[in-house]
Amino acid sequence: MYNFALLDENSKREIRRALLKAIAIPGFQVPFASRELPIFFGWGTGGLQITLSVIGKDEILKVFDQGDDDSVNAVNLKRLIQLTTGVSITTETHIATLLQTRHRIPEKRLRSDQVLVLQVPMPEPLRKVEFRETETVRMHAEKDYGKMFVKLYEDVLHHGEITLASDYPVIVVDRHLMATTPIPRWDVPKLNQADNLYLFGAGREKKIYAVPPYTQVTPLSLDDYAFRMEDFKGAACVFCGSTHAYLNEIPAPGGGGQAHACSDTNFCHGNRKRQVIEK
Amino acid sequence: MGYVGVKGGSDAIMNADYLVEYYRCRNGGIPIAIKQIQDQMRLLVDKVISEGSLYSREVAAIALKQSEGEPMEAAYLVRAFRSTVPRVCFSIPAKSSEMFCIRRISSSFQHIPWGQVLGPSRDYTQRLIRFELKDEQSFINDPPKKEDDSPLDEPVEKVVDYLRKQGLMETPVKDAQKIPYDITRQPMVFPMDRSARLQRLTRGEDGAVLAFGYASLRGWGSVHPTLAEVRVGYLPLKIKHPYWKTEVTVGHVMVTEVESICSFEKTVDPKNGKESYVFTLGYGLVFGHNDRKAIAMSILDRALCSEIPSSPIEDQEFVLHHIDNMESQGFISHLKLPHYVSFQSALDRIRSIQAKMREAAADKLQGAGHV
Amino acid sequence: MKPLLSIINLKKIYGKGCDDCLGNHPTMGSDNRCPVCGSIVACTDINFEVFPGEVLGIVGESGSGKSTILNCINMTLRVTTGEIFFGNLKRDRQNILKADAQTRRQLQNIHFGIVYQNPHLGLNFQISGEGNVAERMLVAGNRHFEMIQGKVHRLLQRVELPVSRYKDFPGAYSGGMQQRVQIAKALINEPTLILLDEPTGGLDVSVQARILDLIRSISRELQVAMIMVSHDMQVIRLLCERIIVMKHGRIVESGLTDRVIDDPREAYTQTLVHSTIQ
Repeated sequence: MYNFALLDENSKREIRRALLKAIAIPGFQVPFASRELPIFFGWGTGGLQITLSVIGKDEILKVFDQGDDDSVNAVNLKRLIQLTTGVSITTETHIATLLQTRHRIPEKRLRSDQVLVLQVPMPEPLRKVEFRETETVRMHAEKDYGKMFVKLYEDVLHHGEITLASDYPVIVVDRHLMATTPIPRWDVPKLNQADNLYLFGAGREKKIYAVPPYTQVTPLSLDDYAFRMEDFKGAACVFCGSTHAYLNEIPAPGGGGQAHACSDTNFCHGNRKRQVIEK
Repeated sequence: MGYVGVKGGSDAIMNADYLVEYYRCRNGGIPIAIKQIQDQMRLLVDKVISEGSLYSREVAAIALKQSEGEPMEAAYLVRAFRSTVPRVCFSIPAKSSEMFCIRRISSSFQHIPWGQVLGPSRDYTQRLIRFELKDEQSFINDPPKKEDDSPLDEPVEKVVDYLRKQGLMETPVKDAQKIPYDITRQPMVFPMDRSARLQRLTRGEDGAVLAFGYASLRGWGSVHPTLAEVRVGYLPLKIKHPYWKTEVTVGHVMVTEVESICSFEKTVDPKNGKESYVFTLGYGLVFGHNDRKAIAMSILDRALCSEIPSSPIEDQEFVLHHIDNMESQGFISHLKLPHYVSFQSALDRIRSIQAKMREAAADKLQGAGHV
Repeated sequence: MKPLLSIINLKKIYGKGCDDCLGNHPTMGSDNRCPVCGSIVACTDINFEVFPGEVLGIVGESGSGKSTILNCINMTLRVTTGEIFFGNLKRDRQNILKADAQTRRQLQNIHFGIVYQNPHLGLNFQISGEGNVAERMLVAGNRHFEMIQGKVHRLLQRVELPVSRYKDFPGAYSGGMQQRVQIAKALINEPTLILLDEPTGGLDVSVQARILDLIRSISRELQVAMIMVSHDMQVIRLLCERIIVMKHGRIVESGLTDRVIDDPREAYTQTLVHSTIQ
């Protein structure tokens, strides 16, 4: 009843062309005619359209949200993709060939045969300082990012530090300013000189962009106020004990206060399995 | 209670699905027939075909039934379905002067050719709730006769054509080479071509188009028009026959068309350099019967022609970005998705700043202590 | 000595224009309109030079085209015809109007500084006073907060802005303070040319005097070239070595300030001089 991967072949072709252009100009936002899908705009349609355009019959797909394979958004997307493609689904990061994510990059370094597709709410990093699209297009064309640096200066002036939290802007190959999506600062360094390809899709805003492998990606900063990741102050995951992962605050199991747990559930699982084997 | 693992997302979704169906059907009774929705909820169906951007009253009615009467959700279903329907061909540009009108009025002139035809309009009814509808077992009036329903026998001349004959309105320049922009196939780039703007407006959410049009009337824009004509009726759609190359009428769609007169502008006739003043036009066209959306659309069409916006309503980016049902409800709804990772990042930031402030305050106290 | 800036046949017309007003020496009407086609001739046949370190005044009534010229030099207005040669570019003496976007921005950010009569044109009211000045350094490529802040603070001190007010937003400043920040903003990247468009218009007389003193001492200290636009002869006399007199968008007289004021040759200049200096 439906075409393989839902979208008609012309739509897939258009999206692939946009992807090629995006890969050729790392960090540059390519406009595309986003299609309406059975999932709401704002709920991952950009990432979904990319996944549906590049997915092959033998793909092994992983979809996760905030690091969690079983989040309702991830499950919903997985169901639709599987329904229209019949591909295998996995929760194991190291087995997946195509991964679609919302707001996190896996803890485990991805390989060159893996592609990560990110869901993007606001592709324009300059939106914080300029709400007109015609003006931000000009700013990118002329590499005129002064307004963004002024924001950093004002942050340090009034708050003593750069207050940008997630969706931290980066400069790609020393040319384009790029939005990293609401991934935590923890994940931003993973974009730099990666072995894998990163594809970014914003369905509602109708933009596609990309970071190819082995690309220089530098977080925006001032020379004396460096980019800083989140600091968990030595806290460890209450399930696997890891101190080198992005952690969520959770109510302590067994009551009484706060604890932390790995955001990347598959990573956490893997640690626990290894610990059991080692025991 | 200990930490509950997030496994079980699939079960949660399936249960939510089940509950939706449950809420739809739990009170039993006779399921509403699709035909009843089409017949007796005509204007709601018209709203959905307009925002869904697909002229199928049956599909819209099913979508309304599925979404328990929520028109935005129904319009979304229709749009998603539209994405899967193949495009067969393009029609020849339809001429609204060929419309078979069921309603046709003008505020600019008291007397127009063929007269003012009110048609099925609530404009002159009193808005008193008719409680007798509660016990309606069969229709109060005799079922309407075929003759009562028929549109005017012949197409009638448009008021704007009448104005054009008198040289009071600009004659549009026919550009045979120009293909209209297709916003469903081409990316949205600003500033938008007029054909793209009109497409965006006609599929826009009823309330949003209305609110922006209203704002313009109240002074946030400079457009306060007089309506040259409002017409509602059946517009014939024609295609070029694939073999015989003749024009073939393939059907009729009900549309509401509004042409509003906004203000004057100076024009120069390219042929002889003669200057004159003409009326400027705002255009609105929507599927189905929806006077107010078409009127508001015509106001916005004119407002968005401004090269230098003097108010938000004249700003293409402001109006056209926020007028589409699918995008607005999608993004607002997405706030319900988990955002704990980015929130965690913000917590980290705010704690760091607070710690700095506490340190600074403590240093100050210490310093004061030493004095 | 080679001129720093050369303006050649500059013309700015609002409207369609016609052969007469777009040509050389168009007919002058009784106001700024072209008597043939009705377009507004904001300025036409503008030719002059500015030498390194000198202060040139442009004087005339409102509507004479003075501000238009400044905005053309600063490339915030598109000229209709004409050339502007600036001497400090790497490829010397280039027509800046034909330069690419990157070069234009470099000129606006580093080589030129501008001070507007209306602070809303020159300052960003959404960021702090010191942020406004720092912005220019950031746009020029500086990235070290402490170094930037140090230089900004030193300059704000020089323009006598109270230290306690540096972090405030321009909306909270007095008119005089706003102009001081604009001056600092214009100077921070050490430009060779500063454009001042009635910088003391609308200020109290005493505040005016102090701002003018500041400008005069800066021009002496830094030897930066300035073009000062004003309708006030006394201001011009105080600061400018040479002046240009404008009427209806055209230059009617030019020369050394003292000579023009003491011995005006054109009838219009005479009226101007006599009506403003009591």
